[in-house]
This record gives sequence, structure tokens and C-alpha cells, in this order.
Amino acid sequence: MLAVKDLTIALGERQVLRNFVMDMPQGEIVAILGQSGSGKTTMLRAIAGLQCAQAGEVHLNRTCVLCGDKCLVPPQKRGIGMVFQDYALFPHMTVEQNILFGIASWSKKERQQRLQELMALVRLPVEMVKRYPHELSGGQQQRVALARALAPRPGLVLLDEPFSSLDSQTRYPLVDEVKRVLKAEGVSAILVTHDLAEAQRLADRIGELKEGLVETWQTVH
Amino acid sequence: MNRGLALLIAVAAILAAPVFIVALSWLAPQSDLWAHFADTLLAPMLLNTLVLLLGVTIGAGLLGTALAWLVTLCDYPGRRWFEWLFFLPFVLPAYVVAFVYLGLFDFAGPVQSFLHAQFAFERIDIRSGHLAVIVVFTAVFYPYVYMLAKVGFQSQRHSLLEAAQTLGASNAGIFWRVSLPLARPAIVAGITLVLMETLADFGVVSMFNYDTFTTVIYSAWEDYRSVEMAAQVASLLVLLSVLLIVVERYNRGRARFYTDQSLMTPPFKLKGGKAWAATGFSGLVVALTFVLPVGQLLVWAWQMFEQEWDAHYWTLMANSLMLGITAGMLAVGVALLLLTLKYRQGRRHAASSFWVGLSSMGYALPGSVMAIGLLFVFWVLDKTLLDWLQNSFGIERVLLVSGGLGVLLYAYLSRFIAVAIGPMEGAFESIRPSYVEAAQTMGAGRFTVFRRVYLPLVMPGIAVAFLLVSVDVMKELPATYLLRPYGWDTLAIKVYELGAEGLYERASLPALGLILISLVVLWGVKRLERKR
Repeated sequence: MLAVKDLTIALGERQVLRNFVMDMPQGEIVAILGQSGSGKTTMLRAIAGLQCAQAGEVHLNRTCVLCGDKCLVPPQKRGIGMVFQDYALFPHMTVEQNILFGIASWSKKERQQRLQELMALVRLPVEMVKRYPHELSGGQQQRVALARALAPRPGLVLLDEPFSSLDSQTRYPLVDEVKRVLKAEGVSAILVTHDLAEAQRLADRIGELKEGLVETWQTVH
Repeated sequence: MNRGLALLIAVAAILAAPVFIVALSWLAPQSDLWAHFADTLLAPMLLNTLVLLLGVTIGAGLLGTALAWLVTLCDYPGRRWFEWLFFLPFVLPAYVVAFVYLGLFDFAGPVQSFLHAQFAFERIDIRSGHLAVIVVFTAVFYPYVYMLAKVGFQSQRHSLLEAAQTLGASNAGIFWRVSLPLARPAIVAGITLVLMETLADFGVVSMFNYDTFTTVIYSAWEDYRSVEMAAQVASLLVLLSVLLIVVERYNRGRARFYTDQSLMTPPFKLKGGKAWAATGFSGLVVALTFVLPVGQLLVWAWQMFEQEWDAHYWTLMANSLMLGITAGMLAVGVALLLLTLKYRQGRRHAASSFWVGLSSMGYALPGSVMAIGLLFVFWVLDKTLLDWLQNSFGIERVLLVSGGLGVLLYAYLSRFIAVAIGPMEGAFESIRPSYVEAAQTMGAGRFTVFRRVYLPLVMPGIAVAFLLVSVDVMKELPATYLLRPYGWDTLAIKVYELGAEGLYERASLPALGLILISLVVLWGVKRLERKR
């Protein structure tokens, strides 16, 4: 469903990715490990369409969305969900409005049904829909961010260090939860993180990003 | 109650006193005058004020927001220049722009004369109707909305816009659903400032013969000799301003709008026709709101210099500068006192926040009203004091208080303390308690903490506050006009006196002097803000 070929990105003078290669079938969860500054977030942003490249290709469901130095399909049209490191929940919207943001064009009935489904899936009590993000705990915000990314039924979800601001007590149970949710929705996902334990709990396959590319992939059993 | 809070309340009460003096006027009902007033002036005044406020809200709101959005979220040729060129109308006093536009576009002005000669254009009187006044206020006050909306757009996290993109929102969708709602409080705050300035204006509306609150207040005092009546109309005006603020606060509800990181680079790169349209539009705004008025002033000044310039101008400039600098220092000193007292009570101390808020209320009072209220009080004070001195000690009667600069400085302080508190409070907020604690763990005493932690962090805020108050005071017209010592003129007074008589060419010289001083100050503020 996702194929990345020889992706090369430089930010200013610095070469961040060089000939990065990755293939992913539908439903797989991949984790990419890397130190800060290793280029893992840049790689995610290029797949999402938030960042253009110097060379390489990104194919989504056999469509070339990034070819060479051209961003062919804007992020709006890629059908990729993303959970940001800071969650990026809209502070002026309630939980409900945040989750429904991406499916505003659906009918009211469908929207409400999807909202109920997602609240149950991420295990948030229904009465929380009227709260604002700042009225939630870090873990709850994380769940809302995941529900929001999943709402439009994307084929692929990108997770940009979404657990890094949680304490270890909440973190690992939540990692397991997220895995359950992703598998239940049958959606592919790419997690970038610097935490090996987190990657091992969540992913089917792990690669370490070093000097702009992943040399070997390791399958998790 | 502790001593610090008591002192805070006392200072706040002194600063807010003019507002209460004005409210007290209702103790002396003026039923005859009100009956007459209701029959004649009331309806047109209310209609004019309403239309004016609505027009300026739309004009300055749209223009300020659009320009702020352009320079923060879009990249186009000249963006970095326009980013600060849009601030420039700040240095133009509203009454100066009013008389330049009148000189250019009025009945007998060059534009209409040209159109009449070339195309047999039917001459129109731009003083009649609402449009011209609204255009002038929009041109002069849009920088308030621009300045605050820009901060509103800049403080939006990049990831919020990107999240909206990944959720399928188009660029227009992002603007309407994320950027604009997040910037709304900033935009509304900017519009509130514009509306308060518009309500308080006297120079523009009187040059356009446009009856609003301030002209009616002036007429109640000047034509009917009723200080009480003037103060009563004024208190209605204050009520309107307070209402504006309350509506805005209520409107916010529980939602939050602040995020911590700021937008460093504009996310949308405009290309081709769109880019040039943005540059063209920005250029047109700067041309009409700044280049045109200043250019016209320069032309007039060039023509009049020989005839108009004399040593008297040095005195005017010195007077303006002296007032500005003294009032600026006073305001900064008092604001520092208030804020120190407030923060010593703790960061979120409700009572002290309330009193600091109260001390800023004078900003809602037009200068003319404040002047009338103060004149009245000090006149009573003087009279009582002198009677007592004469009766007890046989001392000769001289006007002690109401004749000097003291009352004028008090009026400035009460009116502009809010302008000083704004940037300084921002600086105080940025001092985290942990900074002070860290300094203390390293053995710093109270004085060292003040000198090495507080002062350097607050200093840019103090400087900005000082500069803003000085410029506001130098441009201020009605209070200066009414409260200055007899025969004591400033640049602003000179501009108004000449402008009101239609002697636009002669008024250009003092106007340029005022603009030049303000430009230097604005440049200073920009430099300091960059440091911050």
C-alpha cells in the first residue's frame, strides 16, 4: 500500500534522508527508531505531504504522490491520518468538534455514529465529548488525537512520537491500547520513536534510521 | 488586608477617579437640558455613532485581519517590508490624516477640481454622509487590528495547521475553521481598541462636522455651559466601552486560544498572479494610508516653509517633547509600582488583578471628558482651598492647582496608564517563579535578584511602554487643549488650530514635526521588540 523509493531530502545544508527505501503491505505496523535529529520526523512529513523532497518517489496504493522534487498530491488529498508529537488538538474546539473535523462533509447521522464508534474504540467516556482539550489529561488528549486521525478512515496513520510526553506509567498500557485500536480498524501505521520498548510493543517490524537510511529491518514476533 | 494591597488599591483609586467623577455627575440631574437634548441631538448622535462604529468595525476589522493574515501565513514579494510598513499609520494623528484627506478630496481640492475640469464631474461634499469619516478612521486605526491579529496568527502552532491539512481541509477551510477562530480573540481585542479610539476621537469628527458622543459632549459644555450634562453623556459613552469589553470576554467562554510555539516561517508560498496581487494590494494600502498623507504634507511644508517657520516652532517642539517624556516616565513609574504590588500578592491573585484592571479604566474615557471632569473637580478644590487660606491666613488668591501642568499630567496618567501596563505586564508574566528561585539557590539576595533577574527581563517592556505613552501624549489633543496652561502650545495644538480653520498648508509643518518624532519612537520600539 505504501512504497518509498530512494527518498532523498536535505534541509538547508544538511542531508537528512539519503536513498531511503521502505515497502509496506496493508495492515502492517512499522516502527522506525532513531535518535533526535536522525530525520525520522522529516521522513513522516514527506509521506504525509507536509514536506517535499529533492529526489525519490513515494507511492500510495500504486499512485505516485511524490516524484522527484515534485509534491504531486497535497496532504489534503492523500488520505493519511497523522498523530502529532504535541497532539495538535484544536484548542478552540471540543473533543467532538476535533474528532469530527475531518469528516465535516459526512451526513449528520454518519458523523454521530462514527463519533460513538471512535469514543468506544479509544475507550473515552461519552460525556467527555463536550470538553475542551485543555480540560483533559495527557493520556486522554492522546486518545482524542488518535480518534481524530482515524475518523476519516485513512488507509495509513503516521504516529510522530505520540507517547513521548507521557510518563512511563501511562505510556506502555496506552501503547498496547493503540495497537489494539489500529488492528481493530485494520489500518497501516508508521510509528517514529526513540524508545525501543515502545517500538517492540507496537510494531510488526522495526527499522533503525541511521545516517539517512535503514539498513536492516527486524520482525517482531 | 496587607499594606501592599492597600497601597495598590489607593493608587488604582486615584487613577480611576476621573471615571467616577464623571459617573457622579448623575447626582445633579439636568432634566430640562435632557428634554431639549432628546428632541434635537440625541437621535442623530446615536445613529451617527452606531453607523460609525459599525463601519469602522467592518473596515478596520477586515483590512487589519487581511493584512495580518497575508504577512504571517503567506510568502510574497516584499512581505518582510510590508510587515512593518503596515505599522506606519500609527504615527499619524487621526486629525492630521483627516485634514490631509479633506485638503485633497474635498469640494475645492485638487482631485475634484481635476475631475471636474477633465470629465465635467459633479462636485460632491465628502463631509456629508458617513463614508468619508469611516474611511479616515479605517485608514488611521487599522494598525491596531493588524498588530494584534498578527500576534494572534503568529502564536498558532504549525502543527495545528498541518493537522488540519492531513484531515483534508483545503487552504480556505484551514483559514475559516482553524486560523481565523484561533485569532478571533486577538482580532476582537484589536477592534475593541479601534472602537474605543473612534469613540474618544474629537479632532476628526469635528473637522468633518460629524455629530457623535464627543462633539455632543463638547457642545453640552461649550454651548450649554453644563459640565454635569457633558459628564452624563460621557458616562453613557464609558458604559458603551465597558459593554464592548464585557461582550468580548463573555464570548470567549471556556475555549482557549493560546498555544505556546510560534509560527516562524509563513506556510503558504504565493506564486505568479496571486503573489503579485498580494504585493499590489499591500502596496496600495501603504500608499493610501501613509505615502499619500505624508507626501501631501511634505509638499505643503515645502511650499510654506519660508513663510511659516520661525523660532516659535522650537518652543512647540520642546513643549511636546517635554510633555511626552515627563508623562512617559510618570506612567512607567506608576505602572511599575502597580505591577510590583500586584505580583507580590502572587501570580493569580484575583483582588489585585481587579484593582490593576480598574486603574486602566481611564482609557475608556475620551480626553475631552476627562478634562472637563478634572477641571470641575480642581476648580472646586482650588476654590475651597483658597477660601480657607484667605479666611484663615489672609493669603492672596491665586489659582494653585487648576492653572498648571500638574492637572494635565494627571489626566494623561489616568488616560494612558493602560497603554503602559500592557507591555509591562507581558514582561512581568514572562518571569517564571523558577527563575527567581534558581537565582536564590545560587545565593542571590533580594537586591541582586531585582537587579540581575527582574530588571533585565522587564526592561524591554518598560522601554516599549515609555515610548508608546510618550507618542500617545504628544499626539493627544482634547485634554491638552482644555487643560494646558493659558497660552502654552504644543505641536498637536498648533496642528489642530490651523487645521480646524482650513489652513491645511500651514498645519503641515507642525504635523510633520509630530510625525517625525513619532517615527523615531516607533523605530525605537521595533528595535526593542526584536531584542525581546
